[in-house]
Amino acid sequence: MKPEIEQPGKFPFTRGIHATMYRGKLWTMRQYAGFGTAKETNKRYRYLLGQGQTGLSMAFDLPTQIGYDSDDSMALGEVGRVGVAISSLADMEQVFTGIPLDKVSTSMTINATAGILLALYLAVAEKQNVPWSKVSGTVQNDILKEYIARGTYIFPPKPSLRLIADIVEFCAKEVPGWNTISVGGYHMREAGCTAAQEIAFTLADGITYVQTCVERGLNVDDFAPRLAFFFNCHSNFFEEIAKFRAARRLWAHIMRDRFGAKNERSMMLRFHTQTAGSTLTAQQPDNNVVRTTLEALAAVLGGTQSLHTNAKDEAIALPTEESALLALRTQQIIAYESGVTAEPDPLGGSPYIESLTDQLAQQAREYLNKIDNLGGMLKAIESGYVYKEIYHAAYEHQKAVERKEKIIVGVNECVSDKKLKIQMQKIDPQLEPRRRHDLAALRKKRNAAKVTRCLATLEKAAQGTENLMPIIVDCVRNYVTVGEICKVLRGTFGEHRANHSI
Amino acid sequence: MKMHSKELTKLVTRLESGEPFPTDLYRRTGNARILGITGPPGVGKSSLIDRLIDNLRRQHKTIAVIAIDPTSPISGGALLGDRLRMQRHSEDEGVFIRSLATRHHHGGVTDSTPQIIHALDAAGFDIVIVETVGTGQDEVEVAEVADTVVVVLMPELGDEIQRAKSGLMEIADILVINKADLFNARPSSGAPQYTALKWERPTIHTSAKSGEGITTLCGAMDVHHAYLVHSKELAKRRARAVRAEVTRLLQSRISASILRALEGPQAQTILTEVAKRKLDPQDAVEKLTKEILGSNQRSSKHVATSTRRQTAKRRKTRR
Amino acid sequence: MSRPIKVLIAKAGLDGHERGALVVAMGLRDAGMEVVYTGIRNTPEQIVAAAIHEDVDVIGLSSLSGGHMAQFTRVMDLLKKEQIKGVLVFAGGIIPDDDVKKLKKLGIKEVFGPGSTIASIAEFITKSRR
Repeated sequence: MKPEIEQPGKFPFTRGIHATMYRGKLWTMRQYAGFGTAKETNKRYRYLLGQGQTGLSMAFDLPTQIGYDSDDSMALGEVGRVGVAISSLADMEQVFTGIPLDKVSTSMTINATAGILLALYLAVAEKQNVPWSKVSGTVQNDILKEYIARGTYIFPPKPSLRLIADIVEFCAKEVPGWNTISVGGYHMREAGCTAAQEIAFTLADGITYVQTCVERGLNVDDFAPRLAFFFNCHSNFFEEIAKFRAARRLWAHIMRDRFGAKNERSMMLRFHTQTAGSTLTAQQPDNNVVRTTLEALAAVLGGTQSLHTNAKDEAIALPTEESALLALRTQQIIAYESGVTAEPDPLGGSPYIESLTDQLAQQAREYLNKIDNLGGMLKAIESGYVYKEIYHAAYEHQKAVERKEKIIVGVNECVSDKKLKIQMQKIDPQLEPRRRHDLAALRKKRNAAKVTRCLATLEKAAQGTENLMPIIVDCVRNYVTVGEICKVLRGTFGEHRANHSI
Repeated sequence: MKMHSKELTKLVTRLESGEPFPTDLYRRTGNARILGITGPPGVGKSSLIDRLIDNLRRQHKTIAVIAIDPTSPISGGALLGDRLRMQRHSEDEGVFIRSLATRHHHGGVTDSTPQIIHALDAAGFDIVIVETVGTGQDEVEVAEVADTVVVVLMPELGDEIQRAKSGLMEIADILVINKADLFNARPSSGAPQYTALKWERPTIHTSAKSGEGITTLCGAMDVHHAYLVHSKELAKRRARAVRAEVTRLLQSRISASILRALEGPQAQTILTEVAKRKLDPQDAVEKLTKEILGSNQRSSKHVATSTRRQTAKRRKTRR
Repeated sequence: MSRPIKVLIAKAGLDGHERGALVVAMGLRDAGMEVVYTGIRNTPEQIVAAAIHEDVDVIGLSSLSGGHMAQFTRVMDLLKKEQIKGVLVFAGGIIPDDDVKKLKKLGIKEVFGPGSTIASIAEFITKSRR
């Protein structure tokens, strides 16, 4: 499979998707943030942008991710906890006050409600008089991994894939600068799968999305250049570098040979990386700075396009301003001081790296074949195969740690006597009552007739096959809330029910 | 009479631990419909039951579910994951769900399943569903406890399942092919037929995910029940269940006696004689049988007394 | 006859990360316990109802999203309301030290943070049951 001499920027892109990689342009330093209120999020974004961060990354709270407004009974205790609470356009406008959307690129970690959050972003751009053609960013929009490793699904797979294709189709025409799917392996790795599984399960998800869009009638080269990936960077330094290389090689072949892509840009695996949260420890948290540095370095040597480095307290909670800054500085020191950016794929050609790359590619291929034999990733997920693989691997890892076959410094070796206390961001206890109040005020202020009309249009369209995005954009313009939109969609599409078997 | 939830669960726990079923409750049994649902792991039995509960509750029926999963032969523990797919019914007072581990019993059900069914029956549930894992020839005991046995399969299962199916097919009153939506399944057979003498087993295609086929399945279950009643099969099956239960209790009792006898000093002497070739094994059995039968008479009196005492105690604490 | 200890492992609230809960469930199974795992998105009411139906000896609550105070408080309130006695409750996940104290006051016997071993949880359970 491997050609004689691989070159950076040349098919199959094992050595990197660009010929000069970081010599030409550094990776995007994109730190995940967002918590509590839209106002606090806005403040943190302006701080990070001022400090040199080059792209924004949005985290949403669980109710927003699962389609509940902040005042819904299902949201109790969860509002603003793991990210910002967005229920309406009013919230989104607040997040981006003073931040021109044609000057930044925003990556949104949002899946089941990706269409709604994208619509909100586009509505904000409208209010800023920024044309959609100038808007750039990403929605994660990767529902398959939600069913097995992250849990923020709402609807069953078929309507969820329809929504994903709607977004891809809509953006291909209206928002050409938008990355419409960020196919994630990060979470499955965090859930416990191995490096080879991370490659295979991620690419298998990608295959399903491409297949869905192609069946919709879209030409692969019209949307594939806008697909992006999101990988984990774990602690085994060389294995991780090899993992990225293997993933690029496999995807290039999949796109060209399986889907018949002609445009080289359709074959390039572009990815964002996050250093592994699961490798961080609560014990001796300063050690985490070292871990993150090594993991970030592996991601850079592996050729990532964009990187999030964890703060040292990220194992415990959302990071403080100080630790978030240090995480950013970690990337900046690697970028400006270490010299590793001088050559693309500097470890390429090393016998060890090349053999690891080949091995991982082979193992991943075997998993992909298995998944094909099961009838594709969707069936593999529904049969429970993927779930079992991930969580059995997680259990094996735990047993290895407890048997000290795997050492974690500060946890099962080099343990210190003193127990260290982590400073945590506190969530304002008045947040939920305030949100309830604000939403009630919003519902009074807006045009109720328009809201009713929008929701009726949405329901009808959802029952049919037309693209829902323009309708959702219209809904959010009129201050229809996230929860109200999802209630209609839940009524039409139904809700997915977990049916795991371990 | 409906037993309050906590009382019922405590009774089930005691029965699960091998305590005998309270005599005074026994005459309240025989009213519930007992439904057995079995099939290989992963076909979607629990998800199917989750949907069935919806339908049955709409008909205002009360349902108890016993979900049985295998005990690990190595650790003695078990992961009971069926409830997960039925959790949304947890708060419904007309639904009772209990997970049981086989605790090394082979055959699909547990030692105490018949008694636990009695408890749920006596508590007044209209329908008792027993969910078991059935893959091979061994795991067909569910047929001994149920009036209607539903075997659930999935299309395109591997060879091993096809072979094992033969045991399951013998006990199936209704065959369900689940996950019909995932695979291109053929349409179901028509509405189930029966004559007073013969039941024509229907094949029903369902998707627990979408709800397709569930109403048909419920209908088939009702028709089978009607068949059982009209053909007098119900009485025959119940008689078989009683015989199976009593047989197992007897076997259990006598096994215990055998083990006790073998521990005793008389047994030690007899066994030593056999080892020395002074006695042959048949003679040993003759002698030990007398001892066991004698001891059984003594112990049965003891058990009867103890059960009466326990029942009296419970009567006092109940209201 | 000593029967295996019966444990309910449940995730409350909207958090969907199952790794910790599943690993503990499998670990306790291998330690000889009967474990009912009820997955994600359980309301406190569903957790307590399950605990009653299953007549468990132990409840393990898992939370990683920070919603533990609201969720776990409600679970403990419901257990009290239903007069459930003798059930050992422990918690696991990402729970700050200050909250650990508050949870223990509510009756949650122990909180197992990141890095906790299955062995320590199993030992805690068997010791507490004696």
